[in-house]
Amino acid sequence: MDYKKTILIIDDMKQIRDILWFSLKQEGYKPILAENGQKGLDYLFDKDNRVDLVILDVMMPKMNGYEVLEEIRTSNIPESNIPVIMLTAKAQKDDVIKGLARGADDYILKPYKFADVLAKIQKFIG
Amino acid sequence: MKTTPLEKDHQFLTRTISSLTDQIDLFETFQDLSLKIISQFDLENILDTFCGIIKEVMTYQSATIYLFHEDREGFKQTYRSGAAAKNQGSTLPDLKIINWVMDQGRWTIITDFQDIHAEHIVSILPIKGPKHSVGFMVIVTDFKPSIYNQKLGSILNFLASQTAIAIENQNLYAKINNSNAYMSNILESISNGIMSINMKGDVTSINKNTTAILGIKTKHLVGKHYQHFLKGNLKKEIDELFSEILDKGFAFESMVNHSPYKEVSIIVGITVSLLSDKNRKTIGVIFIFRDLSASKEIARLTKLDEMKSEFVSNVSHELRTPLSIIKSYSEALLTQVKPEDHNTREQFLSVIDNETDRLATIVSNLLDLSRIESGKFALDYKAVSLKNIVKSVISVFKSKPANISILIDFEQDLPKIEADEDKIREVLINLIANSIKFSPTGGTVSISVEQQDGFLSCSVSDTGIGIPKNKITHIFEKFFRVDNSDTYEIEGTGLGLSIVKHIIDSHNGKISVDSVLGEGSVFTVYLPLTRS
Repeated sequence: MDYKKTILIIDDMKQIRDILWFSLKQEGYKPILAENGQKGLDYLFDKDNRVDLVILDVMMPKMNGYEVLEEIRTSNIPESNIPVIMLTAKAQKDDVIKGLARGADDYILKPYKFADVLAKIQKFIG
Repeated sequence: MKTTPLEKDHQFLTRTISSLTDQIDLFETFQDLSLKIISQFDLENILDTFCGIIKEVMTYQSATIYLFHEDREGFKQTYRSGAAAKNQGSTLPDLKIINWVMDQGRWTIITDFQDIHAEHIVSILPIKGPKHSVGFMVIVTDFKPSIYNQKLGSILNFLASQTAIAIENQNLYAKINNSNAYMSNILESISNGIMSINMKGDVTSINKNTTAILGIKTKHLVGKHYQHFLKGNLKKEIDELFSEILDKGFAFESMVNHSPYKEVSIIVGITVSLLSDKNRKTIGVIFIFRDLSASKEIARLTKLDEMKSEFVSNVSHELRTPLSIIKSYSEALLTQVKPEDHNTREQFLSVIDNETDRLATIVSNLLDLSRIESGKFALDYKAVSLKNIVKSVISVFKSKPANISILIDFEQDLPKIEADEDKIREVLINLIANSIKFSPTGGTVSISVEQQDGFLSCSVSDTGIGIPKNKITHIFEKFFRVDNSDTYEIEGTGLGLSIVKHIIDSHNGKISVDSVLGEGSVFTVYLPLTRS
């Protein structure tokens, strides 16, 4: 099988993007990195790109994760129902609920175990 | 005996004159009596005087006064004079008879003169004023029908009406007293100071809180001109408000810094409004004084509380971010990076190293905060070179920020200063880290050190996002973070600058900030050369 499942990682923190890129690649996925919400949306909304899952950070400059999520869910692209996993250092319950209420499929709290991230990804896209 | 017409006329005249004299005497007596009754203000005295006069007019065995209740439903015995006759538990006649007499509205004998068993004569005297009845008197006298005549009746009715007026006046008087007491209770229980003055400026009323808030020691202020006991700003402000309100009819609340007691300074809010009588004629002015320090203090504490909760959430985020980076990189090193892939290993280890430094800074800031809070913040003074500290701090940063250049400019022959090296290093780390943090990629951070007037100054300037004007005064406050949610979301605990300020203050130094929104900020630290 040639095709690799594509995961879009939207996070403003370079170190996090880099390590996710490294680890996901090791697991046979094709990670795409975006350093802010707008760049992530641009990639996703481009017809030529195919994305299977989005890992989305909450606290980001200019456009936060909730806003990016809303853009995705209210858009009319085929991927508007794409699985989105929120990545957040905000441990408060409110934030988790806020994310889920806005249509996130799951969330990961920082610091995370990569095995957990992997399990959540596999749950949605195998 | 025959009388001549002249004699007849003379007799007629004599009788008329005598009767007129009698009448005048009677009028004078009436006036005297009326004055006696009306000049009393106490119910007991009124009734006492009334009964005393009745006793002089007609000798009674007993006189009992019943007064109606305020709602005029029912009455009660209020006064009794003279010994109660035998066989008489109560002198109260039948209610129907009383009502009938009250309707007649004049003195009425209710004992039947024909009754051979009657031992006394009982009469009822309605106490009735021009408007309504206030009560009645039951009079018991010896059985001597001859003394009853019309003249006695009119005297009694007159006295009763005067008594009714006196009682009504007394009721009004008591009501006014009550409502005065009620008002003054209200005035005293209000936490604000309330003072009214007349048009001349003399105090007409003042509550205790006015004297408490303003710290007035003068006693018996009512009747005194306010300028006798208000001085300085306060007098000036009252002068202005007084003329402004009379002039324009309104004035805005003004705030005055006032020092009611030594070493106590409060902010007093003063509002003023006109006092007018029922014809809407202005008769004075009322001032209300509020101690605004208390409400300001509550607002400050509430804000501090909010900032603390935000702080907890920020700290948790700040700690989790480097932790999660360290965790994921070390996890990858342990499970995914091939042992022979030296480049990746080194790259990952250096990320872990950097994040560990970041964690260490946060932890040390938190420790500083707790030392400052508990008063255990001590300085370890040594002669140190500010230039060397700046250099070593920059070397820490140099490798880290992407695309941000750091420029340095040191004046020649800088002297050493007496300072705590570690603490000064912390100051610089905080300031430079902030400059980098708030600068966009490609920005420049310049650091310069120069000497001036017994101080060394160190400026850290950047080409970053700048600080809004209205926020500049707050940036050194603990937990304060400029709300930048619509521009940048930059992480921080809001502790750095408050610790910086504390360190500089404990060195007897100064810190100043100059910033233009969107262009950049300059923080300048002044440190004295010698410990003073």
